[in-house]
Amino acid sequence: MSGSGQDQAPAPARGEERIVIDPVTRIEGHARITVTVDGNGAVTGARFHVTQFRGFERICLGRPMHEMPAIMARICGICPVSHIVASSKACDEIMAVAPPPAAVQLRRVINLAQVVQSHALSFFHLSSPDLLLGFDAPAGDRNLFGVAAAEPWLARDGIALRRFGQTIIETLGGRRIHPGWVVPGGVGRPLEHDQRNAILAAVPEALAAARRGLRWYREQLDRFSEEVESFGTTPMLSMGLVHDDGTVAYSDGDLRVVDGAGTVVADGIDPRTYHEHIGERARPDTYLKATYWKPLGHPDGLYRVGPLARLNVADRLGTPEADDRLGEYRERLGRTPQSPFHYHEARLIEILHGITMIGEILADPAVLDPHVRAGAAVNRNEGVGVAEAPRGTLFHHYRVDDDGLVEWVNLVIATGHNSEAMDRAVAEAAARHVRADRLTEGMLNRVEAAIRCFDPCLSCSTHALGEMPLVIELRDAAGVLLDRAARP
Amino acid sequence: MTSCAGDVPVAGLVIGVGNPLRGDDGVGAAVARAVAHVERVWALAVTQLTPELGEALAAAPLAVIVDARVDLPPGSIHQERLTGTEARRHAAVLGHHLAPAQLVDLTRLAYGWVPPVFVVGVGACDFDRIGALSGPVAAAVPDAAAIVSALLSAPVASPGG
Repeated sequence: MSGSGQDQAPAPARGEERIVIDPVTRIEGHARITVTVDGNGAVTGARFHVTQFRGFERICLGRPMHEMPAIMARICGICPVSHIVASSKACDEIMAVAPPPAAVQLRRVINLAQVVQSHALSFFHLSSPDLLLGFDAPAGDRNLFGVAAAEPWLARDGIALRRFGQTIIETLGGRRIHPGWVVPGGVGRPLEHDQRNAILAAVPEALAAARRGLRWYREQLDRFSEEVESFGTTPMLSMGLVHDDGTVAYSDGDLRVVDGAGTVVADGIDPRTYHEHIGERARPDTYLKATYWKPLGHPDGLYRVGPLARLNVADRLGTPEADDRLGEYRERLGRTPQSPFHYHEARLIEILHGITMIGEILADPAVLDPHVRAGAAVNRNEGVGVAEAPRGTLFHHYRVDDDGLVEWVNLVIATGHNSEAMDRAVAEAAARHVRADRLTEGMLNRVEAAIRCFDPCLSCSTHALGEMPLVIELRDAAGVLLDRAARP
Repeated sequence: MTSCAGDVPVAGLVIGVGNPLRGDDGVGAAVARAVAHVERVWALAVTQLTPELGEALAAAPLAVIVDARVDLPPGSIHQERLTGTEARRHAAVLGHHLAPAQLVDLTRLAYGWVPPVFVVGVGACDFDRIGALSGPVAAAVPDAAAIVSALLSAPVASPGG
């Protein structure tokens, strides 16, 4: 793909200059942002570029279908559970089986545990430094160490919520990263009585941490009204899974789409027909595959997914305390908030809901049923599996031959749905906060923070950015250096 | 992997770091496995150090981190006592993993206390074998385990966390 320009921004027009933020920090994956400014220093546009390439659709070709969940678990070190759930559901379709009821519930539990731990990582580890210390705080302090130094309880609660979710994943799946327990037809083994009791015993502490985090966030929100208004508030569609009764769904349910005013645009869409409703498009400046809602076309059909969108599409969450918090959220922000900044609060409400749901599901003794897996050979040559990953709706679509060997794969990843919404957020944040004749760390951090609201997971593979330098130079049309910002 | 015995106070925490699928990188896990049977030892095998380990570290009276090192002759063993420093905390904060000194720092900041922490490094050379240690590194595992056991049983000065 070298030379195709997919990691390059469009060339600036005559008289324009380009500001590059590379890498974007405190996100999952490697990306850069380019901001173009005109001769007067005014921002004329901004783009979010994903510069790493994921080739799992090719890697899987020729593999036996039953291997797919285990292979797909390796696609991401942050949300492997969502991938194995979606992958196993696609295989369920190919086998034409329905997993036993206990397996369905256990899949829900492990997917919710994934949501809780991933959201905790996003909020407490990656975004709380900005919220606690401010967007203009020294870059060296805007990290988990800075949080631990200023508000140790906040760091401890983030760690505790991560541990809560990861321990459940380890208990059920055998390990915290890349578990292989969710399999075609159900799950690999039943839940033991002692395991259930241990998870249930941890619920109250986790709920307390979730409540503290949400309360603290709401106390901070008034400090960020300018960011709330400038991080990409363009009204657009929201998409997510809901149950028949309108409650939010994570591991099953049908697709619902609402517009910026909250009007239902589509409802009861069988996710297996996603390709009839969702258009996919490649772009020359990013490896991220963008999507749009086909009936409205592009760009009118742009939509968001993830916590903000899930709360927008669902009538309610289905657990009383989380629904109370959702009611307060809607009372303050409207029925379908459009600022990506509110992803943070939606994420915290989902943590509260997820922990509660885990407790409710596991309180039912039926979850201990030893019948957890349905077996069958290939009964169809095609299957689609869907799940709500922490960052949004995730589709796995496979075609196999009569021997179950994979012939074709399509993955639609949550962050891809948000691709163009993130572009809008970056452009709006840059236009509002970047003063092209004098770059500051706080300006650039706000542009990055607009992206962090979406919590993008870019590579869907394990990675660590490590110690990455950042140098930004602003030059005029004659090449004269106007300003330089460096991150050691 | 854990041998923490429920409510019984642990004598020490052993964290073996590395990926057993990458040859000698798995020596940390091998040493952790070797001491897991020791009474009141809480042994963990992890692929990398993460902030979540701060909870376990803060709850332990003493901790030993075992990891492979490429700057030592294969099979040789080096031990040192760690003290987290402010200067170290700023490095590599963009990723998901921490250096041992950073984990010590973070634990002290978040939990207000950190136990004495030792790092035992084992010289490693071959990272291509899947699930197997090279000869010299495999031969060093019993010695490294003995060093870890000795550290866990010896009295140490308070870190003054």
